[in-house]
Amino acid sequence: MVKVLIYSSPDCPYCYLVKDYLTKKDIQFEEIDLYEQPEKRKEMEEISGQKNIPVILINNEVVNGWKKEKIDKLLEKYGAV
Amino acid sequence: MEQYDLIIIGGGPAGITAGIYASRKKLKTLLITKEFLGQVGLSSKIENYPGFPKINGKDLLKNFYHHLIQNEIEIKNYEEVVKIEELNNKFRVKTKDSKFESLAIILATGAAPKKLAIKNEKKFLGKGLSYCLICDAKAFEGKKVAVIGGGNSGVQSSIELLRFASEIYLLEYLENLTCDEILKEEIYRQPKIKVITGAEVLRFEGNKELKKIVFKERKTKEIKELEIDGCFVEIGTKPNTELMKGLVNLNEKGEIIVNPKTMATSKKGIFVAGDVCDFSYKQIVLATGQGALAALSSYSYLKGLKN
Repeated sequence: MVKVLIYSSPDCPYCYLVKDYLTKKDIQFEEIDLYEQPEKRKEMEEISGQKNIPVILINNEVVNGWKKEKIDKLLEKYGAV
Repeated sequence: MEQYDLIIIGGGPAGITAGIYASRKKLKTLLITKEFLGQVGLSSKIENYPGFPKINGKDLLKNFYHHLIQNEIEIKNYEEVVKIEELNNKFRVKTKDSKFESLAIILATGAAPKKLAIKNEKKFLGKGLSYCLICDAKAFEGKKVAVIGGGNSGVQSSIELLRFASEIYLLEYLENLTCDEILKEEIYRQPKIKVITGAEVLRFEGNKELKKIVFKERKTKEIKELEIDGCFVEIGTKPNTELMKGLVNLNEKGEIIVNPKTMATSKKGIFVAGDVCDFSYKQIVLATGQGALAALSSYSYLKGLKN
């Protein structure tokens, strides 16, 4: 079972692409909206080592930004596709 | 292998409009795109697209997309074209996973944000430096932020940053801002924004995070430093034409040279639309118009092949 978590904001177009892509692949994910939970920004920066969004965690492995190939590789690694 | 009349490559305003027009001409059409985004998707606010006095780019593109899928058109989303080959009177388009053939092609691959190519740009990406204002502006609440680039995007971004940053510096290489006059008026009215023109940005500095921009005042040749917490780069775009080298004629900027009456390229059967072509102005409304024209010209071309 793959666990996907996305740090995002409602305006961020790359966050939208990540969510749309996962939805089309029937992958469930949790989302932390940094507008609603600004206190989580520090946690995201510590995990990812940087400030830009989206940050995606796939079974705790970090993907910084909308990087389809990296996301695909991790989904495959954890048997989600 | 699946055969089409027309393959459109690209999912921005130009490609989407071409798709709508082609499907209404009953062309068997495939649209391939690595994502539905384009430059429009990155705009925080659009105020010059008729019918939408104020809309953000993501929402405008969603409207375009929903309009597109009401039509009869096949779409391969999240697929990247890796090669276009010319065969006898047709074309073969290869993606990472599949191959398709068509009699005509519309290239609408758009453009990507330009980078500065200066020292420490890569080092500070995500550590104070960002190319996506609507993604990352909120990370700089109450901070000093710079925007590099005095065109419409840079000025619009600086104004957008007023919601978040405490001080904003806008740096432009030329002596004057190149944005629309209405934006120029607005930015010079903002006491929180300091406009610095004639500034050649030389490098970024900082320890773990970006803390300083070093630039040359072009008139005096004096080297100056600006202490900031964040920086957004909005210096224009470069055309996505890697695929097209050797296939169609490009200008010195790498843009596809186009016949503006038909949107035809130097290669018979290949048409082009949007920011990837050599029009001087890159505007959403121009991209959609070019998409329509490219589709109509493709239709005439295909009819000509059948007669």
